[in-house]
Amino acid sequence: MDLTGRLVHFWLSPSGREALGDVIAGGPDFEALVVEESDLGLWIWMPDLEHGSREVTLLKWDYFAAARLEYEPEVRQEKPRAGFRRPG
Amino acid sequence: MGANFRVNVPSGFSNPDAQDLSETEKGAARGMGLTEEQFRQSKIQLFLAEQQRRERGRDLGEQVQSILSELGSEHHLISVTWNGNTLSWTLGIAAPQGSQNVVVSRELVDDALDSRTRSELQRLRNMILFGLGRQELILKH
Repeated sequence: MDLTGRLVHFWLSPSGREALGDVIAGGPDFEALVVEESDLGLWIWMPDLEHGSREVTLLKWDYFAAARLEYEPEVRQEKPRAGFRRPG
Repeated sequence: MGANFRVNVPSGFSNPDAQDLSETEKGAARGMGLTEEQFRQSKIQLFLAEQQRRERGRDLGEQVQSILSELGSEHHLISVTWNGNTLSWTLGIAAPQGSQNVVVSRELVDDALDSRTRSELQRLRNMILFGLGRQELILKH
């Protein structure tokens, strides 16, 4: 699943709490917009921390233990078919 | 909604004629061990791919215009440009603080336009609002 552009609720892992505990105040879970994915982890924008700016934070893959996001299977919208129609 | 924006998809060929190959192209075909007909067919296929990309750019622009309409008349789309080297689209947007360039990846655009589901279009919307510095609207939706 591609996370770029999604609002995701994260729960920090023990190593994430140790690394980011001072940065993310208020508990081990937070909501963030995923701006970019990389080999190292996710570049995120945290509304609570960076409300007025566009600063982003690298959340390394092992810094979070769980993530929750809205997953809504939706019916794909079919485009009208091009081509010939059988005469009625 | 009027689609008064430019779609820029640079062509890979300096000679826009798919049927009559230039001497340079004939030389290139020989250099690659292709017949002129094989080269011509390959060029036609590439032209078709470029045309499809222009249509995708037009479709993307219409979606972006719809997103920008939430921000009022001070924001409008100027151009949609394909970046072949980074496989991304650059959206040129006129905003009160001046012209802004917002870059979105091909994957994000294809996901949104191929599925057209609410959640995929929402991802496109979020990245455009973030690029424009209107993050507060991401949370309100």
